[in-house]
Amino acid sequence: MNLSQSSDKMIYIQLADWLEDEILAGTFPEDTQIPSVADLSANFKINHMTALKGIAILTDNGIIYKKRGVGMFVSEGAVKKLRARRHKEFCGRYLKTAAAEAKKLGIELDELIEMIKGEYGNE
Amino acid sequence: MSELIAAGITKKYGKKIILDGLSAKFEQGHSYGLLGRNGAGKSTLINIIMQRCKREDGAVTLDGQVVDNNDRLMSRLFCMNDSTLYPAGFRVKTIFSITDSMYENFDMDYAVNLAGMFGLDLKKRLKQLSTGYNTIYKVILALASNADFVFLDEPVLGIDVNQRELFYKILARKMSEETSCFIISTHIIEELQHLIDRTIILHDGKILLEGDTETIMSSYAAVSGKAEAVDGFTSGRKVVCTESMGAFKKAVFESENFSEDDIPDGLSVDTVNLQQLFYYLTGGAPEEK
Repeated sequence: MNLSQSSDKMIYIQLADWLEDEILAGTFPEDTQIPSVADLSANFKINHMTALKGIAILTDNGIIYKKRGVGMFVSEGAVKKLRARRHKEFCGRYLKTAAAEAKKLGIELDELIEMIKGEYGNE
Repeated sequence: MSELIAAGITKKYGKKIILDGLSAKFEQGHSYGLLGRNGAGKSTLINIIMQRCKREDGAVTLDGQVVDNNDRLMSRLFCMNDSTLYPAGFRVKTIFSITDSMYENFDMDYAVNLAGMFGLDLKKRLKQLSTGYNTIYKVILALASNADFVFLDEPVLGIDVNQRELFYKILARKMSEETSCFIISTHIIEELQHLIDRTIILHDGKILLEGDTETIMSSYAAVSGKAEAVDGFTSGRKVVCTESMGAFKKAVFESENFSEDDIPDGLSVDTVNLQQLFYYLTGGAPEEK
């Protein structure tokens, strides 16, 4: 597994995003254990300090919690929490970029809306 | 936490200065990338720390004690590089046993397990090993040594891409145990950059840049676009290196106090990874003629 080498995002943020994505997708359901720091470090070929930094983002937000001597688990209500946050971030994360690019290319607003409609239907 | 310090190291070959009063500190709990172009002095520095090479000046200390002629301290350091310390007729398993007897914390079960993962036949003699396996058996010894400080000088030399992936995974897992401080010297920086939390770049026998890897990477950025616009943008900023192609120009600059709002229309600003940064800081490519 590889995290992007060219992304503008710091690698620990990419790891946090990846964990969140997998929790949202149900790969790591609530109340189940997520991979250990050693496993995450090995699989992504990253320094364990970096992995810990990424994990800290999720623990700080209450998405996962630590069971001493056992490992890290997905919190109850994590999916709901993540969804709510991603909802909030959606505009800044995707729509802003799409709108800026559309403007650059001279795509009119109604044209853009049609495009989004088309994509939404395709999913 | 232990500290290994090389202080004021000077090394000359004849009149040529290889290391010029160089000082470096390695702390347990961190992983270091020791980077430099060919001839920068990386291997010489490692060989001096390992007492395999004489120096004109300077001292090497481990937790404040001079390591010279101190076997007890030297047994806390391990180094793998391209040199072979054993006769070509020796079997790999014999070398595993010798290393086991020399290093108190050597983990034979782990070493044998790694050999299995890499497909290394322990019954083979050194002279029967391919270039790749000649590196692999030494990497395995280094990983299993559990020495306080482990130097890996070109650990992926001749190793194919599948085995390199395996090596990085094993190394990352090993690092997470925090038993050894790894100091890795390599030319394949891109594959290693997320494994090392500290970076030291050697150039012309001196330290060109050192520090926290992420901080270093975020201290620089590349701006590109129309040459005049790039020049306008970079005037007053510290530029590391530029590359031009007709009207197009790219400049790597120190991005301190820089925000995305400063980017003028038509120019794009990108992050630079460690390998790119290394390349620019050490002079870019030799001119193509």
